[in-house]
Amino acid sequence: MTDALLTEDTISSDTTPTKVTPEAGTNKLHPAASDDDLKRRTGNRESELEPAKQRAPVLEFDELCVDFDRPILDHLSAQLRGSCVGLLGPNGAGKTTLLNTLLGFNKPTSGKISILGHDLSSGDQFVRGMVGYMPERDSFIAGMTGIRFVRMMAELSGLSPKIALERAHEVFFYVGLGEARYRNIDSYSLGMKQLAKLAQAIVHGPKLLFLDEPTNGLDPPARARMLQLIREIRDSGDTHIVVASHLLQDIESCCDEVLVLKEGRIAKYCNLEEERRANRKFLLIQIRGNEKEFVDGLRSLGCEVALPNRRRIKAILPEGVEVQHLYALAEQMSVQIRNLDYKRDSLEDIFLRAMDED
Amino acid sequence: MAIFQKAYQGYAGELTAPLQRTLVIFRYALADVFQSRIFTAFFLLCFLPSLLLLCVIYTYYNLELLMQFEVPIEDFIAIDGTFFALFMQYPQMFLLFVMIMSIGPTMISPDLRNNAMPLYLSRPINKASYIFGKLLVLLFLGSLISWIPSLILIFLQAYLAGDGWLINNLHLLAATVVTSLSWIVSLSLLAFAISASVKWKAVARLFFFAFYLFGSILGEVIKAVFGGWGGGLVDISSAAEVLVLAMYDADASYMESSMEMPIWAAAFMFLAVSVLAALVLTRRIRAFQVVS
Repeated sequence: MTDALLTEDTISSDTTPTKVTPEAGTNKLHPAASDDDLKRRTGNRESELEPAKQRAPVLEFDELCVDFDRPILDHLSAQLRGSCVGLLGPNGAGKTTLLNTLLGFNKPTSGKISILGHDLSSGDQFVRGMVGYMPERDSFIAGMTGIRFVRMMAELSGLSPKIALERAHEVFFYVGLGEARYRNIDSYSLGMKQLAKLAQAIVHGPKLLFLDEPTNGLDPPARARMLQLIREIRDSGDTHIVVASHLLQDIESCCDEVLVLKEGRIAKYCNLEEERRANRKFLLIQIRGNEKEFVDGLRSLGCEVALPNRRRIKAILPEGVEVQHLYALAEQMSVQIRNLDYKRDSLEDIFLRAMDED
Repeated sequence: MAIFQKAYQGYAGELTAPLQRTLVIFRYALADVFQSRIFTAFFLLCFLPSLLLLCVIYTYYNLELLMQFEVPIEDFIAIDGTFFALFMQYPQMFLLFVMIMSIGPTMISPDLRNNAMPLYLSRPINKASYIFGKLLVLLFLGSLISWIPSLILIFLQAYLAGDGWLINNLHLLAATVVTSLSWIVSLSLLAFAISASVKWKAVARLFFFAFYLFGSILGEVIKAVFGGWGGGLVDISSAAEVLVLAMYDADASYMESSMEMPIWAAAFMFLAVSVLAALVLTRRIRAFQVVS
């Protein structure tokens, strides 16, 4: 790419979407994912799948307190190591305050914060260079085209004007707003504004990305697209993500760790995968016939059985016992199995349990 | 390339120096200012007084031309500190006031109205860099129409006058730079403070003008009631007049100065306006709002 092409007007012809094929790795502007690149990305994901405890903490806070006219965050201590950490909590739990504190917008009353191994108090500016932020509310600079807005944000993050312009174009195509990049940002729909906010947050390739309610106000397809982008960024392995949301499904679909806040305190911090493994899969069975006899039969097979309510049996099968054994048992006892479903504790169960615990 | 069309990748390239990030704000704000054709036309007109003065100074030293137009040279006032204060500094200060009133109050309020501060402040710049970046626009444009042409005019006069004129009037160089910069900085910070406090551009402009107007009226009222120069402490235009008279060593009989305040009080007035405005700015410019 020559310098002469580097104007907002002329670069547009260069950055029209090029078809990306496995062989198309020679395109200088948009090299397709080559084998090496794929290996690198897969490798990164593999490293991300290492046991969480082996990874260095992305975020670390020690006895973190933030007070305004009342305590908002109350002695929070945690080490977050996930590649994508969900920040959950009811309204007023302190999610946004925690994000604002991590971004250096408000000073902690006491306690320490470390981001990617750097003490926040000693180097605000340095840490902010590694961070991207997508605010919850509409945030943009009036009277600017999308591309100019994102380019300016990239330059403010320390990219040279030339690289900032290139990345602004690329990131607009990446988030799916390529065709709208020359439109004034005031004229964007809500979904487009959300994507533009994501674009400005990732244009400088941050090492840590804070997303505050990224799917706010999005329709189902736009929401799916946003979550897909978050998963892709997470899977790249280049960026750690912290997502604050009150939508459990969103967190469940893209996060590997969850921090649940309640009244400014940590109610639960868990690795979702480990939590799921710990909460073994169980069967929910509905039968017609002699329930007591069937339950005894299940126990004789070595199943752990519970009866949450009438005509519903919760059973955890031991190693070696399969569903067909249950059907055989039912036939033997002349019991009719009306419904049989595999169940697992969902994030909602985890969240509600955390809310119930004092 | 860092971000692929269908895959995301971080950036590990070189970063610019922190000062360059302040200049980013300056560059973009400067470009925004010139999006208005009316402002561009006004800005070009601001060079007219300096061009006229250039012609006057040239004509003053061109006897043939004066005789051709039958202009008696004794009708011309001497080109000295009073001349430059009257015909150069005052018109420039008026133009600076109009320029700052037209663009100053519009520079911060749109960012606050559109919640852009979290976007700026989550990046490696701070409030001071943000304000300085915006201030640079007014300093740059203000300098182009005030002390820079003034210095050119003074040097032209020195060249044409010869005989050590510059040595005798060396104070004029400092006078034009100091008075222009004091005026630009204090008015700009005041405009920014109003812009940060009022969401709408037109209202912010109105407040800025009202501050100037009511300051003058209040100053006169205080002078009428209590006497002395105390009224000058609320009237920035009087303070500016006193500063110009003193710095240019100008003949006060040509001026309409009504406040006989000491120069230290005038300097204090500028300092106080700047400090108060900066305090308001630092309070108003924040990345988030505390809901109590």
